Amino acid sequence: MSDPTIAGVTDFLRRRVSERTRVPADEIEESTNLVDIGLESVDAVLICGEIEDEYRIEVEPSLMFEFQTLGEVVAAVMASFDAA
Amino acid sequence: MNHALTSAAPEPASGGRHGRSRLAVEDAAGAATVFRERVWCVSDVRPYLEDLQRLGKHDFSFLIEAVRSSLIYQSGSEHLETRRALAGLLSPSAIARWQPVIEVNVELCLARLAASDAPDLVRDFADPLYVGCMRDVFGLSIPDEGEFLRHMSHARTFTEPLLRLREVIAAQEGYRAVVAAVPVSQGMAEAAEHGPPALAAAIARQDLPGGVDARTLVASLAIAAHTAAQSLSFALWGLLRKGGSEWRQVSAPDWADRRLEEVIRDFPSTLRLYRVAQGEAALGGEAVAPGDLAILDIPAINRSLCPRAGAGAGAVKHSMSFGEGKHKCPGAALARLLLRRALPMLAGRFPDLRLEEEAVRIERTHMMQAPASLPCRLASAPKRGSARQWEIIDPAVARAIAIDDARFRPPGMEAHLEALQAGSGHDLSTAIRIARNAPFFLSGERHRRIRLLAFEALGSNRLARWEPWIDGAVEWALDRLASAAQPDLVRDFCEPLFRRVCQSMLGIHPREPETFDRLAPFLQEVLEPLRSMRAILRVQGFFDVLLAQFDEGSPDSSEALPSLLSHLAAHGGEDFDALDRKAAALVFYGASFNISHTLANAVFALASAPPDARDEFRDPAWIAGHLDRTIVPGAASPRFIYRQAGTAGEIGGCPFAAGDTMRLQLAAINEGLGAGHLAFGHGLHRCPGAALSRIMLRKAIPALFERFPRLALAFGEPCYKENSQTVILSAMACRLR
Repeated sequence: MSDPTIAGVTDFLRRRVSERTRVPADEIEESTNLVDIGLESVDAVLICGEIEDEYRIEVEPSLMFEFQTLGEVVAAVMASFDAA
Repeated sequence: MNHALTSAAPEPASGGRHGRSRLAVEDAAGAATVFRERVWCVSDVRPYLEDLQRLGKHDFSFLIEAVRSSLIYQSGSEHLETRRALAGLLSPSAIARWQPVIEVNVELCLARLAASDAPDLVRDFADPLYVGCMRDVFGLSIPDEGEFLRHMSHARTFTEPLLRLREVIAAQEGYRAVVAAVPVSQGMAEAAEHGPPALAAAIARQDLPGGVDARTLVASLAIAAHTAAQSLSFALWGLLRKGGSEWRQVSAPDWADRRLEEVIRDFPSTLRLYRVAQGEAALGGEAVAPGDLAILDIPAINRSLCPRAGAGAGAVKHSMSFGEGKHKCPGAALARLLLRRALPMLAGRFPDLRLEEEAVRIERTHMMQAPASLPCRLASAPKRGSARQWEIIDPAVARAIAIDDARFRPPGMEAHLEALQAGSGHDLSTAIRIARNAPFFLSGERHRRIRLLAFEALGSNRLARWEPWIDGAVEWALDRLASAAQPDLVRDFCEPLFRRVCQSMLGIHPREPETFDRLAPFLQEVLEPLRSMRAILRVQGFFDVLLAQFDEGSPDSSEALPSLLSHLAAHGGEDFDALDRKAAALVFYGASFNISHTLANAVFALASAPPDARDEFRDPAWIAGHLDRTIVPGAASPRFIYRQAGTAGEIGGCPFAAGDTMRLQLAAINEGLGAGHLAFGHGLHRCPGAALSRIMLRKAIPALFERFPRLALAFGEPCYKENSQTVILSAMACRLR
């Protein structure tokens, strides 16, 4: 299980979003709007499944569309740690 | 506001019987007896608190002081003297002088609501309005609104029975904080610049009975005054659920004079009040012994005060939402003024105000009920629900989307699941099969085929042959309801009727009916959008178990009436193999749960009317005539219709991208539409079960009210299951006679 720090989760999410959207990871910043770079529903479900497997928490795919940017999604995931 | 703890058992009178009887009071005459007769009093909880303090070594001094100084817990001459001291400050004429101050606070809260990104009528309107009144009317010092509300909430639980020790400790701390907010009297109180002297200062000047602490008295009044904010929230919930045309009337200058008392009657935040008999008496023809408990069901009592049908419109005489007699709520005038000004001002400012129904949370305790959150939309324009989803509440825009199959289609669940399977490596074959046989996830040729086959089996023409059988099923369900020891309209009528009819009509005959019926409700989870992989795998597991529970080819319950499953087998052709046919039958069964839910919602709405106003409900012709005008639009259980945009475009001021989801909010869309409602959808994707749903409502409702004309719902508001997609009553306890 990866270390659930903000930096760790940010890096984890950035790599997963890059894999799904084919946008290079170094072009995905915390302020990047994920829908704008092509994130789709299936990507949200798959990425959240990987978050659940990696960090042993439950996250709903809808949060990847309720929050616009990578940084906001990271914050929402971190909040799930607090709630767990 | 007039509560009594049941945790303190009064000492039985000497020579009297031991043990307490609990008498339910559900009519106005009985309530008036209890409220007015001297033998009925509030519990004395002070000995209980003092024992708790002594034995547990905790400090409950503030609560003990509250019992001594609060009108809620006082009795006898002390209570009477305190009420007299406050009468001149809390009377309607005295409170009327605060109207300008209250209106200023309403305006501030309207601005706060307008500025909120996610407006909530509790968080951004009712609670801040209450806090503003506590500052300006009561004169409390409140530097932090959130902290004050937290302390007040803890203190308020003191009125609930059977508190845990930690809750009593929290109530003590709550009271301590609220008393600390009451300013220490500096002597003579002067009138404020824009109004009379604040109540805290004015009360400090009154000649209170010895032993009554003025600051604790003010704190207890302030805590109890939150009931007014709860009543405001509850009234908003009730009014907004009635529809846009009803809501817009609230801003009319004479609305409060015509309708406010009716609102106070229909939406009481107080659920129960308790009184303890201090001597022998009689109530409703039953003998009462000392120590017996009268439990007053305020919603039921208020329902008994509803005017008879045909009695003519006119102002409601009164309700018992504020109690009556010596413990009548002293804050009634303030609560009335608050509602009288806040509701019309809110309706005037936001005439298109709508609730986000699926996010509404109602808090219910033993003693009270009120919304905990009321998320809302201030205007009817389409709004982004998320980065890829638009919320549609305008009926014209919704209808345009529903019939535009070129630009908008049901969510492509099959393709979505196939992509998930490829991307995750999980076997989703069952889920994919379900999706490819679910009309609400299909478009194109396969959708056309399933739709045609479904209408051949379940359309109006075919259903006419099933009607005598459905009549028999209704009678069977009524017999079952009548024989239930503790009848519940959901568990003992709506659900069994739905199962009996739909399982037979769809051709589902489970090998293990109990197992099947226990797991089948999970079929409804397939409707939830954007499900996690974890949830998809879970639902798929249920589908696997349920598909294995029945076989194709089981004999139909009626020899002459082929089921959907047998019709698919005979006419489905190569497009549907055996597993496809079973999947389709199961999908339709999952969707048919809406028949049970809609029937339950309709029964609840109709059974809330007093018995004298229900003659028409026994008339099948009346029900049929009102089905689409009022019954279905108000009771339909699905909350949404989803459509996905195939290409980018614009509709109703909404610029959507390809792949965006348009979520049609049916409650908002259907209000006031009458026969043009979208409860069953519209166009090519109109619900194939619509005809069956209508027949069930037309038959079950009149039969129910014919068999049980005195049907009465039990205590308070019934409970709803948490479900983001569907309005589901989980229970509806009742009395049949």
